[in-house]
Amino acid sequence: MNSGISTDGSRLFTPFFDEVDMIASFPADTTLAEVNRTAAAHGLHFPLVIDPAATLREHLAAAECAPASARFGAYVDNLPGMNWQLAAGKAVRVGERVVKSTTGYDLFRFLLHSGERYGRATEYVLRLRPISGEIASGVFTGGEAELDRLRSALLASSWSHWIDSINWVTISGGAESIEVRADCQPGEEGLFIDFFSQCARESGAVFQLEPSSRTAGLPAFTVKSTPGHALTIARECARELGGFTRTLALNGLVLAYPERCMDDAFLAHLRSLAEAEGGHVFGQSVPPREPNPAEKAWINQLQKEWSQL
Amino acid sequence: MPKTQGLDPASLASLGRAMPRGRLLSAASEVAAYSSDGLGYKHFTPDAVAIPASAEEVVQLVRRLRELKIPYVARGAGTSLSGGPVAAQGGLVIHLSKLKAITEINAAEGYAVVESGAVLNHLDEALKPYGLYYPPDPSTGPVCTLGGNVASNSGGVHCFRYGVTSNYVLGAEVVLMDGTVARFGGPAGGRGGWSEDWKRLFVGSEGTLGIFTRFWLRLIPRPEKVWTFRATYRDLEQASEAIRRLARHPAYPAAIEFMDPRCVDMVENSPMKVGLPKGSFMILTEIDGPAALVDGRVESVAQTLRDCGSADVAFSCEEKERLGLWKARKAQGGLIGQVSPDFIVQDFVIPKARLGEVLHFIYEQADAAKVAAVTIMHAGDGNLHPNFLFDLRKEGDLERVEKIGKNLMKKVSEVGGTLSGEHGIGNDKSAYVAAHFGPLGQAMQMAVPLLFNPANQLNPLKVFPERSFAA
Repeated sequence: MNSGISTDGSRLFTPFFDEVDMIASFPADTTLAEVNRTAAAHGLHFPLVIDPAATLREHLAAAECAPASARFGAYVDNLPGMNWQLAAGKAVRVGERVVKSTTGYDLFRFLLHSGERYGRATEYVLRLRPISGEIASGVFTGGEAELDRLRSALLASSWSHWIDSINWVTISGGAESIEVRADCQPGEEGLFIDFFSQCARESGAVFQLEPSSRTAGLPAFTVKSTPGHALTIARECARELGGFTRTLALNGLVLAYPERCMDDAFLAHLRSLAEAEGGHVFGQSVPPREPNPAEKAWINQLQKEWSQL
Repeated sequence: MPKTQGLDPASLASLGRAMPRGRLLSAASEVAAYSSDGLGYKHFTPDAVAIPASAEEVVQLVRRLRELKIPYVARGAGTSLSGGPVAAQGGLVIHLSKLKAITEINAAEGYAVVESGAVLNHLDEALKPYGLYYPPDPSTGPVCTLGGNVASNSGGVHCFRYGVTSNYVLGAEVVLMDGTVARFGGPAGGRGGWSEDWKRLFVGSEGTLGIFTRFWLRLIPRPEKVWTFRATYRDLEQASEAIRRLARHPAYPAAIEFMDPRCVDMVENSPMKVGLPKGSFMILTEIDGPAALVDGRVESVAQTLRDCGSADVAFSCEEKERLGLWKARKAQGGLIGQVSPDFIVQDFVIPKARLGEVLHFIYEQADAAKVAAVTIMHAGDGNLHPNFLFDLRKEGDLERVEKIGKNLMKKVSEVGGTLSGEHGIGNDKSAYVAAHFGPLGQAMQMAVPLLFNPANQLNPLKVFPERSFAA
């Protein structure tokens, strides 16, 4: 069996697909549609998809979580390793091809969303999941109070472990809604629908079946905060920038799809809101945060050490 | 690397001024208890032990130690199995057991704030009334501290579905070696006011980069109902097939555990016997979730276990019966300590498809060295714990076991595994790290302590043997 790791001394990942461990490597510029076509041949999929037409690299540059992170966690918890090309050109393996590891410093999690300051990924190792047989999905609508009660009920229930996505959608000038989706095994769809309907009754919201949540491409930027605080930020974003936001209710991550560009003052405002809770603003349309004085020396030293390799 | 020269009276007096009376221990009888961890057989007696009661006292100590150029190491309950929280070059142990407060449980936002010396199971007890759950569950839960858990990225039996400690650390407060206090992340679990996600380097750093004083930990709803299943198999092929099918089962088990026949026989030959067929492989699995959902999955899981060849599948959702199903698995750790004067619990992760090959390798090595070995495994994750039993008093016993460990680590790297899944490297496996990472990977790793602990004054000789401290 292919171990997935080169024996030439470099210890780089070599292409592999391990159906038993449900782990496989893919070039960083593979689209999620291509990943899932390959995985589907083995009855598997990679659930953290925001835009099937976008590549793995683009996803990881745009967001730390996807809608299915409600059930499966952030990208860092679903990619155990990668091949990394250092800024000076050499390639090195970072992370492992097994999911559970505490061997050495966790450079993988540190580098995964670090942009291109220290180099760039060339291959990713993905943790795949079995394809379920059925999908239970729908949309809740109602006033802010009803939806807030509903959100609390969903997040407090152990059903939340089994719901793939719980997205609070805020449209500029429009009504708010909560989208839910659960990939479930055959025969369980009705149980999920019953649960969603019960939550709607108890919260005063209205639940309607819908085939699946809409895709809207990758977000312009994301804001990481606590689940409750994220909603306040999402509303500010929609009000200030137009467009809409999809807030991953369990992960506290706002995926922003604005109509207008964000100016420096609003970016600084968002950063102050997020950072007060230990969060941040991140994504393809925002400049990386300026390092604070304490970390400038650490970053410079890392760049220096790794550039000499 | 020899110990430093010990603490001179002036240094001891200086440290004493940083600590309230009675919380700096230096008598041989007082520091002896800190000379080893759960690894047991390697002893490194510290020169002194300080017991701070607040982050501010940790800061004062660290500043004083910087001036005095004394090596030091932070320690929680000392349950590490890798030789991590010991004073490998002498100096000071900073015992964090007084930083034990659970300062906030925020049910609405799903996080807890705890001090680093808080005991894991105390957190679990505190969360129960809220219906909340912190999943990492190493077997030392009744005594181990969250600081130790975060330092070694601890796991446990329910990692397969719920993940390990790093999946739950939203933020960490760290006393850096210059005495500044850094907060990486926070309730939101992001970067906070930093441009990089530094907490990722600190989680699992085995106490080599700074001293944890506080954490923000992610909480999830407590599972409403749990079903436990136990089955035995006559051969490894059947047991391996059960592991594979369970790992892909849509009920998505929280735990998939494995005991090899040597471990089963050890239990069945003891007063803790539970009636498992001798010579069998035991699989234990758990599913959980809302009752309406999980109850409907029970028969499918049981049938999967039967389809793989088990004729004795037992399962229950009743607490007393579930504990009975777990009994053999839970008893094995204590039994090893009863049947052998000394033992080493190995910890590594392999691709599951290589289980047969690696298990055979363990038997081959152990039998050739005439060393008893019993193996358990967090099978969903491919995380094996072979236990090698020996007697330190017998000449050559330790050397034989260490040689097996060396050969085994080489094998683990060859099959695409990793040297530690949840115990850490400590000073037990540091000799094998360079070969595992390769020259370039190793050089990248070594850049990290240069940022935060360039002279290796904090926890020297751990993880990488090159990390020695020269005063």
